[in-house]
Amino acid sequence: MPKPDAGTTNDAFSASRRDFLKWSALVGGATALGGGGLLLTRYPTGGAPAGVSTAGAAAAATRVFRTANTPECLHCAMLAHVEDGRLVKVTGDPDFNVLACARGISRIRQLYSPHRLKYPMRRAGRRGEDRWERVSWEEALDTIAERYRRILEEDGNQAFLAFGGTGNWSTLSTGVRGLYSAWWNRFGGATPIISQLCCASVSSGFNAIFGGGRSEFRDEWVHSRYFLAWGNNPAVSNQGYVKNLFQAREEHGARLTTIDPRLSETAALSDRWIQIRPGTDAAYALGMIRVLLDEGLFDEEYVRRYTNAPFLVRLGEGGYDLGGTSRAWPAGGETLPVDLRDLRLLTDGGSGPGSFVVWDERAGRPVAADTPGARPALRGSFTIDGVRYQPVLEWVRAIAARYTPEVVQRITGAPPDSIAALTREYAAAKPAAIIQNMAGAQRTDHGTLTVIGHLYLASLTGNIGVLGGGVNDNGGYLSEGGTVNPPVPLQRNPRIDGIPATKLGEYLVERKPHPIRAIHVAGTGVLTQYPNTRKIIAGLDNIDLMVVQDIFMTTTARYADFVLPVTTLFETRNLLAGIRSRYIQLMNQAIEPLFESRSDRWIMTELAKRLGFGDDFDKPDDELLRHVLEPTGVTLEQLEEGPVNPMPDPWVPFADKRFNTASGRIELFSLYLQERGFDPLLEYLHPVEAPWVDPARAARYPLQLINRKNHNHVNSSFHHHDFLTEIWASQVLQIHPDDAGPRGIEDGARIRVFNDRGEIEAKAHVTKGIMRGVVSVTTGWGGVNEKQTASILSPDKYEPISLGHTLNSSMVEVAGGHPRGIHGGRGMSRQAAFDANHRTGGSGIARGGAA
Amino acid sequence: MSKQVAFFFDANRCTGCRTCEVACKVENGVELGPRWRKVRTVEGDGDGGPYMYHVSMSCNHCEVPVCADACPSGAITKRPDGIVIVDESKCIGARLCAWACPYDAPQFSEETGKMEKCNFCSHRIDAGTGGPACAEACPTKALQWGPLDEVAAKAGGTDQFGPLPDAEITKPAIRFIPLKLVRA
Amino acid sequence: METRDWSLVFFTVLTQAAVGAFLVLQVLRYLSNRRRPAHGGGTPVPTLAVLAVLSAGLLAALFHLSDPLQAARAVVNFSTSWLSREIVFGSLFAVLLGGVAWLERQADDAAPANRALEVWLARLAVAAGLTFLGCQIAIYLLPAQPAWNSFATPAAFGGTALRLGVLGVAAALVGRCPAPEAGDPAARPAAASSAVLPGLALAGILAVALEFVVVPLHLAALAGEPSAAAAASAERLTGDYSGVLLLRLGLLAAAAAALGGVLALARRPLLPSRYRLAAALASGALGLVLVSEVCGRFLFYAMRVRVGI
Repeated sequence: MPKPDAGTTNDAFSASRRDFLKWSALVGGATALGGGGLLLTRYPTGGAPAGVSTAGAAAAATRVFRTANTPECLHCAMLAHVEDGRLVKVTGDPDFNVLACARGISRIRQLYSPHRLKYPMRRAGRRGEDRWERVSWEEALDTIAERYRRILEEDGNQAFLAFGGTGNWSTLSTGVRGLYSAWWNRFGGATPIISQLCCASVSSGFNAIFGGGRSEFRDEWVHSRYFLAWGNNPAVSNQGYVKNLFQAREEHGARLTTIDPRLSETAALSDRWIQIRPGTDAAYALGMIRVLLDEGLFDEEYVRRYTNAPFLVRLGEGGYDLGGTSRAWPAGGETLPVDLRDLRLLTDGGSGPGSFVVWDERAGRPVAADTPGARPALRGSFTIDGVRYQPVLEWVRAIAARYTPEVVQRITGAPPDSIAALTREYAAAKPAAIIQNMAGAQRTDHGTLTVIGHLYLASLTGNIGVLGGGVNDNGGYLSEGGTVNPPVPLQRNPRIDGIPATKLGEYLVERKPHPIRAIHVAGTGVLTQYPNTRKIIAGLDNIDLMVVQDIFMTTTARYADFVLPVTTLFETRNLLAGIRSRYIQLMNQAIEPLFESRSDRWIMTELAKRLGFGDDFDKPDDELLRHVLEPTGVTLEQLEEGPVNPMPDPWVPFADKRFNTASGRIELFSLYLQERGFDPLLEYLHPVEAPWVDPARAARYPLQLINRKNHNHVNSSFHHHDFLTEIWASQVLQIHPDDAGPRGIEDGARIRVFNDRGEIEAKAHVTKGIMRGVVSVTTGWGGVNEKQTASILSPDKYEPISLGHTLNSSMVEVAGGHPRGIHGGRGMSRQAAFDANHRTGGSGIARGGAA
Repeated sequence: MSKQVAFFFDANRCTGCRTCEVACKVENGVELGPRWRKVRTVEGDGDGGPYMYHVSMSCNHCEVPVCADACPSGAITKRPDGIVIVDESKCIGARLCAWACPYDAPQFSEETGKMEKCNFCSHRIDAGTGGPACAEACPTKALQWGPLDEVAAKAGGTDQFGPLPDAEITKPAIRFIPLKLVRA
Repeated sequence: METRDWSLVFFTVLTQAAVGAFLVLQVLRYLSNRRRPAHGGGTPVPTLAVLAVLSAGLLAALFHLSDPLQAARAVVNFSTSWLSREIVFGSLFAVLLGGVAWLERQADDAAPANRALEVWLARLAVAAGLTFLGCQIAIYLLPAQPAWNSFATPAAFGGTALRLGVLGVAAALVGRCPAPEAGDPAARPAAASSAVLPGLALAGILAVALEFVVVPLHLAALAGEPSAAAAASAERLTGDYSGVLLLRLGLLAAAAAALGGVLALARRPLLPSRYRLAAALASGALGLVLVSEVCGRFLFYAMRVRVGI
C-alpha cells in the first residue's frame, strides 16, 4: 500500500482550509464533505473492472478507476473518472509518491482525439506516401500471419526485426519482461537490437566501477544535503520527484548545482550553474578530482575500505617512476606518454577479493587487501621484489593533476574558479547526491567516461551506499532486485546476430548482418528516435513487410504496410511493474475500447493463435497477471486497493558496500574496462564530432547540437495531446544571441537546422540561456510535424564502450528558411508531405520512444 | 479570519511543467483556445548572469475586481468568499473585463462568444470535494491555495514581483515567493 | 488589434463627431442669437443630420458585442461600469437630439413656448453629449493599459469631436447653402455660411494643430513610464505602425492647408466661383480629417499593450 504521503497532497494550509470549507459551506449553502477536501483517500473496488462511486450527491454517477501512466517516465498513479461510460477527467492519485503531470492528465485528449487510428489499414500507395485502404481485423491478421509464416520458412527468424518500445511500458504490452517480448521469444526469436539509445553508457559506467547498476528511487532525496545535477535536468525528467529536492533545500539548506550548457529548468532553480561544452564532462570531473586529492577533501577511510584505490599497481615489468615522471606528462586532453591499458594490479597469484595486494603502512610491507588491522597506503611508491608499485590512487592523482583550472577551462569553457568552489562544496556536504539519471551528458561520444567521472567523485567522497548520497539513476522495482514472471513461459532460442541500435539505418541499407524482411513495431517511434533517420527510411526500401501498431498515424506508422489501431490505457486492463517506479500497479479498464481499436495484448494473442503458439496467450487477463505477480509477493486483490510498494523504504543501493566486482570493492581501477581493451582508469577523451576536433566539419557545421527534453513529451510520446501542443506548439531551437546575430536570426524566426545527415525546421529561441557555439532542439519531436524530428540530425556512431547513442556529440549549422524535411530528395515534395500530414490530421508520433 | 480565498505561488518550486494549466482545462472542460491559467516564463540577463523563472497565474480573484466594475452587463460578480465568477448567461461579449484586467485573466471563447475565466473551482469548493484543481495537481506544491490572510503570512505578503503589474490596481488575492537568485 | 475592434473605431469616431457637431451648432446658435437676437432659434444644419451620424455610430457599436441581441443588458451595471454609463448617456443624447430635431421640424409655425423648449432640450442634449463623451473617455482610463491611461485619451476623443464637429458643420454649411447662380453678381451666398465659415476654418486649424502637440507629448509620456507595456506601445506607434501614424499626420496637415485656403478665400467677399472653391476646400478638409481620424483611432486600439506578463 502506498503510505500516506503528506508530500503529495496540497496540505500547506490544511488546518485553515478545514475552517474555510466549513465557512464556505455555511455561506454557499453547500455540503462540505469534511476536512480532507481532496479526493477521498481510498477507492474500494466493486468487481471487474474495478471502480467505485465517489461520495457526494453531485458526483453520484461518477465511477473512479485506478490506472497508471506507462511510458518511460515516472509511472504516476492516475485516477480515471467515468460518467455514463465516458471518461470525464483524469487526475493524479494524491496518495501516490509522485503526482501525475500534464502529460498524464491530458491523456483524456488522447483517448478522444479525432486523429486516433480507428480501424486496421493496409498500405495503398508507395511506402510512406500515406495512402491507405481499410481492412477488417480478420484480413489484416490473417495476411500478416500468413506472410510471417512464409518469411519464417524462407529465411528463418533472423529475417525479423521487432521493436517494442517505451510507448506503453506495461506488462501486457511492450513493458520490461512483458508480453510483447515474450511473444517474440515464443516466435523463436528475431534479430536483436544491440545496446540501446537511452542509457547504455550509464550501464557500462556502473558495470565498470561497481560491477553493476543500482539506483535510488528518488524518494530518498529528502535525505540529501547537496545535489549536483550533471548534464541532466531533473526539473523536467524527474518533475514528480523534485519536490523532495526542494524539501531538502528548504528544511536542510541543501544546495543545488547544475552543470549544463543550457540554462535548463533545473539550472534556473540552482544555486550554482556551470556551463561546459557538450562532451567535455569527464575533463571537468577530473578537474574536480584533482581538487579533491590535492586538498585532501576525499573520504580517506571510505576510499581505503571500500574502493580499490589502495591496490598496488605497476606499469611495465619493472614498474614506473610515477612520482618523478608524471610531472612531465602533457596537460589534460593531450595524449599520455604511457598506455594505461598496460597497468597491472598486483595479486598474490590467486583470485577473488582477497587476492589483491595493498601496502600496509603500519607493517611497512605488502599484505592482502582485506587484512585486518592493516592500514593500506594511498600514497607513495613501493618496491617489492625489485619492482616499483604505486597504489591505484597515485595513478588517479597523476592523471588528474594535469587537469588544472586553466586546462579544464580550455577544454570545457567553464570558469576556472568554479572547479575548486564546486568541489569544496560537494565534498563538505554529506550526504551529497549526483543526479545524472540517463543524462544527456552520457549520450556523447565518450559518455561512459562522463558516468565514470560521476562515480569517481561519489566514491572518493564516500557517497556510495549512503542514504541521500549516490549517483542517481531512475530506479524502479525490476531494476533494484524485484522480479516478475513473464506472462507466458519462455523458451530457449538459437542466438541471432544483432544490429547495433545506432546503426539501424546503415545495417538495413547494407543488409547487415543479414537481410531483414519484416519489421514489427509496437510502442516505438523508430523514425523519431533512432539516429540518422533518413538513412533508416532509405533502408525500409529493403523491407517486405512492416507492421506498426499504434494509437495514431505516427511518422513510423506512415511507412508501414499494415497499421493496427491500439487502445489507450483507459480501454484495457494491464499491470505496471517496471524499472521506473518502486510501485507495482494495476491498470483497470475504465471504458470500452473506442472504434475498432484493440490492445497490444489482443493483437499479439490473435497473431500467436494464427501462428500456432497461441495457447499460452489465449487466457483471461487475470490469469496471466496472477502468474506475472507470483514472485512479487503481491496479489491482484492488494493491487485492486491501490499501488503497492514492495521495496524497502528508504532504499539505499550498495548499503552493505559490497560490489559485484572481482575485488568486491568499488573499482576505480576497472578490470571490467581493462578486459575489454579500454583504459582501466578515468582519462578524458575528446568527443569525435566536435568543432575543436574536426575543423573541416566545423567549417560547414560549426555549432554543437544537443537534444533536450521538455515537459510536454516522453521521447516521442504525447505529441498528439492537443492540450499540450496548445502550449508547446513546435520544435524550438535555442541559440545564443552571439550565434544568432551573425546569421541574421531573430527570436521567433522560422529556421532550418541541418548537417550532412539531413535538415529539420524549428522556431528560433534566441537566448543567453545557452552556451555560445551550442544549440539545442527537443528530442523526439515529430508528432505535430515530422519535418521537426530531431533524430534526422543525430549521428549514427556509437559510444565505444557501451555502444550507446551519441546524439549530443553532433554538429550542425542553422539558417533562416524552410527545410526539405524528412523526405529529402526521395521524391515526395515538401508540399505533398505537408498535405499528407494534414489529411490524416497531423500525422506524427504519438507514443513510442527509445527502447 | 479573512474570508477571501487566495492562491500562493513559489517560483523556487516551479519547474514550468504546466500541469496546473492542463489540470484546469481537464477539470473545467475548457476547450482549446481560452486558457484560464497560464504559466509564463520570464527570461532575462541579470547581475548573476542569465536567469529564468516561471509564473503560474489565473484569475487572482482580486479584492478590487476591476473586471466586474468594467463589465456593463453585470456578468461578473465577487462572491462572499472572494471568488470572482462570470455568469456566462449574462455576458454580452463586450470584453471590457479583458481590457481592465492587468493579469489577462478573462478569456474570450470564440466558440461561445462569451468571456470565461478561472472560477477557483468553486464547484469543488461548494461541494466540499477540494480546492482548485490546478493547485491540487501541482507536482511540486509550487502552487497552493488557502485563505488570503494565511497565504499572505506564509509568503511574506508579496503580491507582486519582477514584471508583474502594480498590485495596487486590483489588490490580487495571490502571494508570491520570487525566485531567490543567489548564484555564487 | 482584433477585427472586432474596428466596430469601435467607427463607433467612437462617429459618435464623437456627432457630439462635436451638435456642440458647434449650439455655439453658433448662441453666437448668432447674441448678434441678432431677433433671428431667434434655428441652426444652419438640421439636428436630424447629427442624429443620423450618431445613430450610425451607435449601430456600429453593436458589432463589437458577440451577442448584439443582448445589447440592452449593457446598461445593467450603471453603478460601476463606464460602458453602461456610456450607453445610457449615449442613448439619452440620441433621445434629446430626436426631441430637438422634432421641434425643429415644427419651427416654422412654432409657438414661443416650443422654441423655449427646444432651447432647453438642446442645452440638455449638450450636457448629455458631453457626459457621453466623458464616459467614453473614462472607459479607457485603465491602469492595466498604459497607452490609454493617459491625458492622450481625452485629448484624442475630445480632439476628434472638435475636429469633426467643426469641419462637419463647416462642410454641411457650404453644402447646404449652394452658391448663387452664375451671372448673378449681386447674389451673395447664404449669410450664415459666409459669416461663420472663416471662424470655423480657424477653429478647424487649431483643432488639427492640437494633434501635432498631443502625439509627441504622448510618446514622451510613454517613454517616461517604467512599464514594459508603455514602451511596447510606443514601439508599435513608432515601429510597426509608423506608416499609419505618418499617414494620419500627413492627412491632418493637408486638411489644415485646405482650411488655410478657406481662410484666405474668406478674407474677401465670397463670390460664387470663390465660394465654390471654399466649399470644395472645406468638404475636402472634412474628408481628409475623417480618414485621418479613422487611422488615429485604429492606432489607438492597435497600440494597446497590457501591463504585466
